[in-house]
Amino acid sequence: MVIPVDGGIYTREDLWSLDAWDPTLLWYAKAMGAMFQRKMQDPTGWRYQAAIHGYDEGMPELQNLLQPGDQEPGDSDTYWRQCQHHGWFFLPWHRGYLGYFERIVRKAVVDLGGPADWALPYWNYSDTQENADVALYVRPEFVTDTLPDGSPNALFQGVSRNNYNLVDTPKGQAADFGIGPMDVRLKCLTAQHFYDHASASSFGGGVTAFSHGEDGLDVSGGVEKTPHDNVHGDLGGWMGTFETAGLDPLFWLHHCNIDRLWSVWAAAQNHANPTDAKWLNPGGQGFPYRFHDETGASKSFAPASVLDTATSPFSYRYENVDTPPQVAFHAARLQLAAAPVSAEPPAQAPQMAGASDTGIDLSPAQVSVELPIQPQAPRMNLAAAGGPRQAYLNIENVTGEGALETRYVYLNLPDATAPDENLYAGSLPMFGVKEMSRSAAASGGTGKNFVLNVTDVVAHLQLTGRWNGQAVQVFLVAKRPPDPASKLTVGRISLYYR
Amino acid sequence: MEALTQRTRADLSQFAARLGFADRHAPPWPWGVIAASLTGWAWLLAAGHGDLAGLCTGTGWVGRLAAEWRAGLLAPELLGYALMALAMSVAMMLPLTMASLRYVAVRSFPWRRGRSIGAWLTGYLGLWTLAILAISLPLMTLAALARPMVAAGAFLFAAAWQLTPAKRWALRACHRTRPLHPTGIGADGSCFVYGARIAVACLGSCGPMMFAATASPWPALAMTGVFAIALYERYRPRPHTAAAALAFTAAGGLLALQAVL
Repeated sequence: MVIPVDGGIYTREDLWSLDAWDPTLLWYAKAMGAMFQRKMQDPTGWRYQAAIHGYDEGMPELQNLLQPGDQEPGDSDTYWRQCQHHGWFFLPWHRGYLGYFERIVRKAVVDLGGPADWALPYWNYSDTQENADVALYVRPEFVTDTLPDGSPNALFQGVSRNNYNLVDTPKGQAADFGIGPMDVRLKCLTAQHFYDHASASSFGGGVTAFSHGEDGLDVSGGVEKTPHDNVHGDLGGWMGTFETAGLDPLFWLHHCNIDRLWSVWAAAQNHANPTDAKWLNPGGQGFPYRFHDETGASKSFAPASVLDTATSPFSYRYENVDTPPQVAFHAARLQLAAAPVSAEPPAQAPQMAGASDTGIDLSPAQVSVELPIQPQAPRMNLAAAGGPRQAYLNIENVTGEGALETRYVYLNLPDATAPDENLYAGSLPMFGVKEMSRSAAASGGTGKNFVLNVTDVVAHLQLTGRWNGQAVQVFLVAKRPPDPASKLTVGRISLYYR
Repeated sequence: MEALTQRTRADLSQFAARLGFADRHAPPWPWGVIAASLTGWAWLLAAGHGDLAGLCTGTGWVGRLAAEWRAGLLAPELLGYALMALAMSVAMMLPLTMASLRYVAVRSFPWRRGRSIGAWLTGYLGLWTLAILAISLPLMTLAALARPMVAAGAFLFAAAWQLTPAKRWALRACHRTRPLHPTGIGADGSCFVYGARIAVACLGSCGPMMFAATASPWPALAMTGVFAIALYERYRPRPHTAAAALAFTAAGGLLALQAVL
C-alpha cells in the first residue's frame, strides 16, 4: 500500500523542469516495462489500461502486441472502450482514468523498489516562460533506446510515433515532432463556460450522455480540440488513434497537462464548473465509468468527487496552476472582464446566420470558401449596443482517410500566403477524424464537427473596416503539405450568432 | 445483484439523457415527439375499438384489412390504411429520431426551421408508411391465414437478423448525420433525403422485429416489447443486440411448437 506524502497529497511535477533521467522518469520507464509484460487480461497491466481507452481486436497494431496466454477478459464490455470525447464528460472521465492509472503505476514503482511518492509528471508544451525553448519538444528520455544502466527503455523501444527530428537541448537530444505554437495555444482558457449549446464553443464540451461522438451534434470543448487533439495528431503513431493512444507512455503525460489546464481554467476568475446534477453525478451511485485500482478491485467515481484534485480518490496537486501569460492576450481581445459570472451557459442557443453549400473538398493545401450571411439574420456590430455578441464558426461533418494534416482556419485573409494572427480563427486537428469517418464508427461515419469561437476575429475585422456583414471568406490552410493520397472533405461550414 | 442494480440505474439515466432531457437548453423536442407518439398510440387504440389486444387481430384494423383484402376490397380502403400505417410509424418510430430532429433544427436557419423539419418528416415517415403497407400488411394477412407458422418464421428471421453485421451497420447508420443545403429547394431536398436515409437505416435495424411483432398472435404485447427493444438499441451506447435475438428465438420456438401441436 502506498502512503501519500506531504499532507497526504502527491505532487505532479513539470516534465521539462526535471533533470535528465530524474527518478520520476526512470521509475516510470521501469514500471512501464514491468506492466507491459503483464497479460492483456490483467487489469493492472499496461495493455489492459490502454484498452480502457479503446480497443479494436481487428487492428494489426494491437494484434502484433498479443502474447501467448493473452485473451480479452469476459468483462471487457464493462471496462474497455470507455473513453469519453466530444462532450462534457471528456475532462472528468480522463481525470479518473489518469488517477487510477497513476495509482497502479505507483504500486508497480514501489514493488520494484522505487519511491513511494512517485506521481505522473505533466508535459506543459504551452510553456512560454521557464522552459519556452524546449517545451514543444519531446524529452530525450522518450526517444532513447536504453536506460542509464544500459537496459531497454520502455518509454521508447517498440513505441510507434510519427517521424521526428532530433534537436540539441541542455537536457540532451530532444525530438521535434513539428508541434508548433498554434497547436498548443491556450485560447481555450478564455472560454466563459464549461459547457454550452452544440453550435457554440465551450471549455469542456457540449452536453452529452455517456458518449463517444454517437450523435451528430456532439462537439468537443476548446481544451479537447486545442491543445489536446493537436498534440495527439502531431505525435501520431499510437497516439493518433483512440484504440492505441494509451499504449504510448507520452499519452499519460499529455493528459496530465490537459487535466492541469482544467484546474487552471477552474481557478480563474469568473469560471466555474457545472452545477448540473446530470454532470456532477449522472446515474447516482450507478455512474457508468468503471476502473480498477492498484489492487485490481473494481472502482467507480462521479465527476462531483474529482472536482478538487486534493480531496479526490487520487489525492494530488499540480506544481503550477498559474494562468499562463498568453491567456491575457486572448482575454483582452474578447473583453472578458465584462463577462457575466455564471456557471450555466446562456439559455439562448446560437442561431445560424450563414452557411456554405455542401460538399467541400479540403484535400488541397489551401482552400477558400465563401460563406454568405443571410439578409434575414440579425446584423452583428460589436461596437454598438444590442444585437448578437458572439460569433461561432461550425465546420461540420469533417471526414477523411489516409495521412491527414491539421488545418489552420482564417477569416477574410487578404493574402493566403501571408497568414495573419489577427485573422486566425483556430485549428482543425485531425485526431479521431479517420475513425469517425468509418461506417463502423458509432456515429455511422458522420465524421467530426468543430466549433470555433471567432468573436475576436470578427471584432478585429469590424475594427479595421473589413467586415461587410454580407459574406465571410473562410481560408483553410494545411499545416504541412498534405499527402496526395489522403482525402479530406468538409460537409458544410456555417456561421452562428448569439 | 448490487452491480446489476447499479448498471440498470445507470442505463436508465443514460437512456433519459439520450432521449434529450440532458440539455435543458435544447429545443423542447422531446415533449413534442412524445406527445406525437402518444397521439399515434391513441389513434391506433381507437381504431382497434379501444381494445389494444385487438389492435392487429380480428377486432382491430389489421384484422379487418386481412378480411377485406381477402374479399377484394383493399383498394377503396387504402387511404385509411395508409393513415393507420402512418400512425403506427409516428407511435413507434418517431421517438427513435430525437437526435435527428434536433440536428435538423439546429442546422437550419431559424426562419425556415419548421419547413426543414417538415421535409425531414416527410422523407422519414413516408418511407416507413410505405414499408408497412408493402411488407407488414401482406405479412399480417398471411399470418391471419396460417398464424403460428408465419409468425414463428418471422420471429426466427428477426432473431437471426439481430446477429448479422447488416443489423449492426443499420443501427450505427441510424446515428449518422448529413450536411444540409442551407437554402431554397436544395434545403428541402437534402432534409427529405436525410429523413429517407434514416428511415432506411431504421428499417434495416428495426424492420424485421417490428414486422414479426405485427404478425404475432399477441401483437399488443409483442409491439410494446419491440418498441422497448428499439428504444434500448437506439439510445444505449454499444447495445447488446444478441439479447433480443434470444427473446425472438424463444418466441419463434414457442409459436412453432404451437403450430406443430
